[in-house]
Amino acid sequence: MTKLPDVKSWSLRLRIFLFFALIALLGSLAIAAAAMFGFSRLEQSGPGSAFILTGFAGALSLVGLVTWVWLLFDQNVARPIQELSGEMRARAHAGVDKEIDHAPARYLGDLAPAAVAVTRDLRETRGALEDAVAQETERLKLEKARLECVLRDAPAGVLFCSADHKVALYNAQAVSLLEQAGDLGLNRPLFELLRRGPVEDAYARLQQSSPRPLSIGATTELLCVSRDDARLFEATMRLAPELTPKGAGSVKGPGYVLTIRDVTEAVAKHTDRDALLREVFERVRRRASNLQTALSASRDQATLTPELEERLRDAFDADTTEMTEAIAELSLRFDALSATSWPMSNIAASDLAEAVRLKLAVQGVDLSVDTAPLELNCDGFDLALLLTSVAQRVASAGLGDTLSLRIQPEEADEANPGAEMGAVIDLCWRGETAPMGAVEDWLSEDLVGDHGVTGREILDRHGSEIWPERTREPEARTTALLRMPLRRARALQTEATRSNRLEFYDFDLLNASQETALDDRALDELTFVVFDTETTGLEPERGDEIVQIAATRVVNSRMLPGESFDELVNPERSIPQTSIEIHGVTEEMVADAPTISEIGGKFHRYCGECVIVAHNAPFDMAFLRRHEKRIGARFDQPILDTVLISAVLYGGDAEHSLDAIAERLAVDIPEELRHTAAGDAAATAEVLLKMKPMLREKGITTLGELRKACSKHLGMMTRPLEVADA
Amino acid sequence: MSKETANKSVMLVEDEDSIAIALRFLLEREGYEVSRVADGKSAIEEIKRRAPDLVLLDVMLPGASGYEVCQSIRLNSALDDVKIMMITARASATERRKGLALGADAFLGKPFSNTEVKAEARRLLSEKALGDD
Repeated sequence: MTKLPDVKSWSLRLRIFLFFALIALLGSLAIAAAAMFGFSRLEQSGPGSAFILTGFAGALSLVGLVTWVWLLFDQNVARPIQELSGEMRARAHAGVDKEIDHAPARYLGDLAPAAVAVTRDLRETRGALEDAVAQETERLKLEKARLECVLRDAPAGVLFCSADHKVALYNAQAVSLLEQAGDLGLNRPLFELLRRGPVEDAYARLQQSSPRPLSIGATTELLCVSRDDARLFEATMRLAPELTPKGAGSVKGPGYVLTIRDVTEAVAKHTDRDALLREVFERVRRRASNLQTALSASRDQATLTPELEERLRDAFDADTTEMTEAIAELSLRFDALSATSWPMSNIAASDLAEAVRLKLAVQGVDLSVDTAPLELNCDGFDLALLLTSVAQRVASAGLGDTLSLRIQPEEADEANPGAEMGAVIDLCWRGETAPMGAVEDWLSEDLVGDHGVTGREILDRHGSEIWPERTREPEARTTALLRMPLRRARALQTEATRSNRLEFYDFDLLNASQETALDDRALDELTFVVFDTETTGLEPERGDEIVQIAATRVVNSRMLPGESFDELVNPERSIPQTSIEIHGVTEEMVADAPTISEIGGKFHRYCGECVIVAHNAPFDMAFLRRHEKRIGARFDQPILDTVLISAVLYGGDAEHSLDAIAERLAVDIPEELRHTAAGDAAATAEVLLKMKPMLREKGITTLGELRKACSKHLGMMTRPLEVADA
Repeated sequence: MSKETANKSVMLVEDEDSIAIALRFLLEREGYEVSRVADGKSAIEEIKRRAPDLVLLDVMLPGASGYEVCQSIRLNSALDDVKIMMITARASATERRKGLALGADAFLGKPFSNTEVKAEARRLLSEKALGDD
């Protein structure tokens, strides 16, 4: 007899065949057994009864047999299949990672191993996908950081705008170029800052010239003017790639990048230089020809009468005086124009001083530095070269010791009111004054650089000079110094003043659809201005006034602290001590602040077309609305109240003070900021951000739906609200 | 010839003959006693020797520059009474500051008119007269 293979390795088909074979075999045996049993009873009970007995016994044993086989089948086949499918589903949908336990399915042949293979493959694929997503996310983060770096130091202003000319990105340079024209902010219309015409023309030009679908990267040059006409910009417009939605797609068109360079001064300088040249020719030519004529007349002795001689002399005088004055004046103007023609950059005074100190240290000369927080408009490399060389000469000439380099600001002098702020660079030491002749020799030598430039040339480029001076100090020894003035300097631009606004860009703005009315717009798409006021008291109708307005903008579910608004307002009345104790705004603080007519207008422009949000909005709005006439603008933007939104979420009976809501939503208000306009506005904005997903769960996704839900709770506003929020 | 200008000595330090001749003529007519030096090096020696009341000092000079001459006059306390009027064709605001910082009493840009020179000379010498009194 051949040995059967291991039971566990039998195939499913063989097993099921065996079940049926078992039924057939045992069924036949049962029927045969029943027939024999009936036959044995034939003599005792007669044929009829024997037949019945046979049939009954056969049926009974068949039922028992089938039941037994079914139990076997159920336990070893049906149930394991069900379990297996359940396990597979868990792996497919619930993300279970454990390997399938296939002991219960051991009699199912290859089914269990096959399922294990499938789910293992699924798990590996899923893992690989997760890795890929994580990697891609990391890569995107890096690219974003790189983009920020590139934009931060791009020498030009960069603005990324959507097809409907709203700003989706800007860099620090753009802020400083456009700061005179107005406030730059995300999702704000570009045309609040730049004149509409040239930009729209250029955009249309690009769209016409590029085939559909628009070729990305098509560029055009344009000149545009700031809204206040004060600045002229040379700009490049480049179409940006857009997300093409699946299906029909929007007809909005692509956004664009606008790179702007301020050419106001360059153009003005060019124009000035032209005008100057023309004037030189006009004024000098006329006088020169006058002189020539008068001179030849005076040579003609025959006709020269004493009277004529007298008149000619007067003419000489007048013409030479005029020509002298003209040349003096024109040369001053030429100096002023040409001093700015060499390309200069803004170098921190401390960086320049440090460079000189290090260069000297290499040569064994000690230098201490003392610099004001200034940026010098200069050619830093050449200037460091010059200062190093001069300092080294002072040291090697044995003029003294204790060398120090001092860089201080210099206000524009009265004789020259148009001049900008400058700086003075002093190289000081204790000892002898530097002889001018030696200084002049030093300046005429080639400096130890690689481009053979002399100190004199560097000075000329900077429109500067070096001369020795002495200062008398309380100590016995006097300090000698060499002084070099610089025409252009400015206060040091700290990282905070330069770029604290760069973090904000949001390319999703480019995909926002603007066509629909605000009510149909999704809450996630809207831009909100969340604000809070501090006031002299609680009763606007009895003459209480605003003393401070602060606001923050929320764009695409992000708070933008760099675009916040915070202004003190002169209430044109006294501030009661009780109110000062709450908000800390004193009468001295607002004494020089603008009045509500100015700040209200500024705030209205800040709000633009956004949705206005406040905690207990009717209170704050009442103070503003009373002055709409003075402000010259109406606050007709949609207004949301976080008190009402809280009522929508938690029911009208819950407590809706800002503190209570903040606590419920785990929004942390630092104690020192509580009851400051800026702190409360920021807290309200955070509350709003946390409420949005909760509203979505309630099926409220658009502004219209939210306003409708809020209006059901409007009744509660007739009740006096919490006093603490004033 | 007014009393206050009488017997005042003026030294011209100027290398260009044409302007030196004209200035000498102009100043002599004003009643000053005028001498002239044509280069920086000998100017320093001459000024030390003669201690004039006023020096008309051109900036661009052979030998030593006007600035150098000016500085050496001011470093010599025996010459504290000497008034210095600097004259230059490059009269930018910075050069004016440099000249005044080095001790010049007046700074005149070329071209200048005769009246200007006369008025400045008179002003400086009367200041000096006041200082002497």
